[in-house]
Amino acid sequence: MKQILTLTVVVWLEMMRRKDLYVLLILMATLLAGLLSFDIFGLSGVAGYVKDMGLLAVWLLAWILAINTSVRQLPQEEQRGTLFPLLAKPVSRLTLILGKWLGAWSITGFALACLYLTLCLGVSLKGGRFDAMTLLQAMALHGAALGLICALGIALSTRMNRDAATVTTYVVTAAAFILLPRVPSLLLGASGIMNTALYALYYLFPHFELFDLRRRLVHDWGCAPWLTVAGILVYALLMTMAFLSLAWLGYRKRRFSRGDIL
Amino acid sequence: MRAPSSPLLPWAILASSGTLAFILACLLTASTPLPDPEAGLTEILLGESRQALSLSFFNQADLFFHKGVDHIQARADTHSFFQRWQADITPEQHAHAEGAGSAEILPWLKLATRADPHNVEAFLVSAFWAATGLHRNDLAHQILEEAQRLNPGDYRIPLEKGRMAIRTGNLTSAFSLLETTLSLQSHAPVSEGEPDRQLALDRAETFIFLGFLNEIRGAPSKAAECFKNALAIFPERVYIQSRVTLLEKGITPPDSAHSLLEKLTQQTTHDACHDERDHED
Amino acid sequence: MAMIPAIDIQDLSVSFPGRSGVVQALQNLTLTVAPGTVYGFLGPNGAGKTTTLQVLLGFQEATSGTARLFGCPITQSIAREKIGYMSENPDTYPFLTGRELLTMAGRLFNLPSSVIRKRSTQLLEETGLCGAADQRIALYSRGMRQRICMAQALINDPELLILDEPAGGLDPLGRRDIRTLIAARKAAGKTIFFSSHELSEVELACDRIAILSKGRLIAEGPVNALVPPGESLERFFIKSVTA
Repeated sequence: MKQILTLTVVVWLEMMRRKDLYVLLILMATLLAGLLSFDIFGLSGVAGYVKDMGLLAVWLLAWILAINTSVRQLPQEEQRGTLFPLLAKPVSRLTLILGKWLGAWSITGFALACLYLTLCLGVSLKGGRFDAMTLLQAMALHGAALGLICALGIALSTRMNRDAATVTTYVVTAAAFILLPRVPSLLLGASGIMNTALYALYYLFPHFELFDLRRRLVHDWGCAPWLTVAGILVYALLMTMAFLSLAWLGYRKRRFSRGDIL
Repeated sequence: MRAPSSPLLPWAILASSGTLAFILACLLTASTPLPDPEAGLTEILLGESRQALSLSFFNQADLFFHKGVDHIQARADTHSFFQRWQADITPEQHAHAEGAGSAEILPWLKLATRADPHNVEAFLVSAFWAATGLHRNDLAHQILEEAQRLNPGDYRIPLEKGRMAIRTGNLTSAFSLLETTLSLQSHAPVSEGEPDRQLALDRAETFIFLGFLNEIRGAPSKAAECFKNALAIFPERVYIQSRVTLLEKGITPPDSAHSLLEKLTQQTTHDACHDERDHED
Repeated sequence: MAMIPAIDIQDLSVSFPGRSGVVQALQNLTLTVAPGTVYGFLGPNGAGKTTTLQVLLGFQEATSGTARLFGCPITQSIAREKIGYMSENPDTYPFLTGRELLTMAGRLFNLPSSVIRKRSTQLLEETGLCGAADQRIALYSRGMRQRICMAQALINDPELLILDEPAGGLDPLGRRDIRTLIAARKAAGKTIFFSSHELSEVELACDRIAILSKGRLIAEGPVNALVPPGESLERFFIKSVTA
């Protein structure tokens, strides 16, 4: 565990010193400033649009950060040459993968908390507010989704080069988020092999729409049932473990040669 | 052994690519129509795609009106916990934003009008909700004035102003606005192919309003004439037929013009076109 | 009781697919490094030295044969608890400070914080990096990076130090510093296994050498026993690999 946490700390130090987070927060603040400056016929207390667009921005920025951070971890170690002194220590490849995943997830989760806090401040300036419990649920589910995305990014980075892994992760996560909820509608008109393919996609790919509580937050629908939330969190955990296992399977026998890099 | 490549080759490729690009740019620029000098920033940046953006904001306003609940779509039951969980996560009960809550749709409608100043529907819906939801007739009036400034030839704006005037009891103003509406409707562009049903509905509605207003003014014959003009568009309206008959006989109809006008002006295009079954399981 | 060898390689072979068929990087390599020796691992480019080191350190698997570090199979990560490794290129994390790098390395060896602090201070003094300990490594010169990499290889006070071209790219002062560090470890009874092209350094420092050529071991033994009197190691090396 100590080794995993050590690797996590290294990821944190890198991210904090790269200043990616500050860029995201500045982007978020700039967007909020634009939204807050929008005059709605002089009416006060109209904050729904700030919530909606702000939450969309939070999702987009966190998604970008999660993918870019996670996909970069292992290939960067190889490219930089720091993988060799790392593996020369009593650090197993599984420990390395877990440490990198935990680092990517935790820093993304921290960024997520900062983005939500910024958004809450912006909404309150407009006279609105989020329901506390619903917000807590939303953040928990969103955080779990980011963990899943980080695991997917790391898994793909063990199988392909960094650029290909980045693009593939973006495409897979976007397609899963947009298309999977529509599969039940598509199934109505599908038959034969198309039907089988749709079912396969439906069950194999991660359902990110389950982690999206934005509508409940924006339109004040209150908390989702806690049992459902717990079920979704367990689902996220299982999918994350599956992707991390794939990453380990792709990494454990991999041959690293300094000659390939130089 | 490979022949050595000329050191000038990359420069030659660059120069020929640059020349080709320049020629193409000249040709394209010559055939591109000049932008309208009065075009706004959105129009210059987005061109015709601003209409799609405006529509998307308008749809977002509709979503906010329905408190985030989508129109239902037919779907198969996969018997999976994914669908059950999604039903728990995503609100599905049919609801409408009410009272002060209806203010939340205004930002989207304003964005829709900013994206496309010719999206008159967005102006009309904004004005309606400002007047009826927020009880801000001044705001509704301001919105319609802006709509008229940007779309001077559109009959729907004086029609909505007329409705507002009726709601606020300003019947004299309503009368002149509805007369303006009629004249703009006469000059409305006629689409090729199928006749414009909305135009026909609005014209009939205008005649009906004028009919009731004439009744209130004590001009039953003019009222009957207006109702007959409405019947010319929709001959099957039995109630209007019976009202015309009563007016021509000099009999005061049992339902007062005031109460009917009040009832008619509370409806909106949303109510007319909206099917509550869209949101029900 | 027989001493457990620091490195015990038995019939180690490594092959992998290449562009024109299978490439035999190592063929039946057998060698043993006794604890407390300084062992030089020599060979021309492409001889298989790097492949041997990569197998020993777990970067890649052998096709056949076995290798152990202090009796522990190299397939187990605990085999690397007693070793320190410094690569040919001083690659490290540019965003960390020298002190942070040593702390990280110490934690990866599961060392207690107090031990890490004490050793970090000692190693920073020994490598002459006290003044730059809290500077980002990105600002270090090549020589400084080589020294901090050496320091991180020594953080766990390893019984076996594996060095890949430790003096590569260094000026004479830098090479002297590395020699001093190696001598200090030797005096402390540690085992040092290093590959190098600097044959003059090898001749001075090593007790035993092994020479590889085209994946095969062609000479192995004490330096003074292998190299005929009056001949330099360099001359002997050239004769061996061209024979």
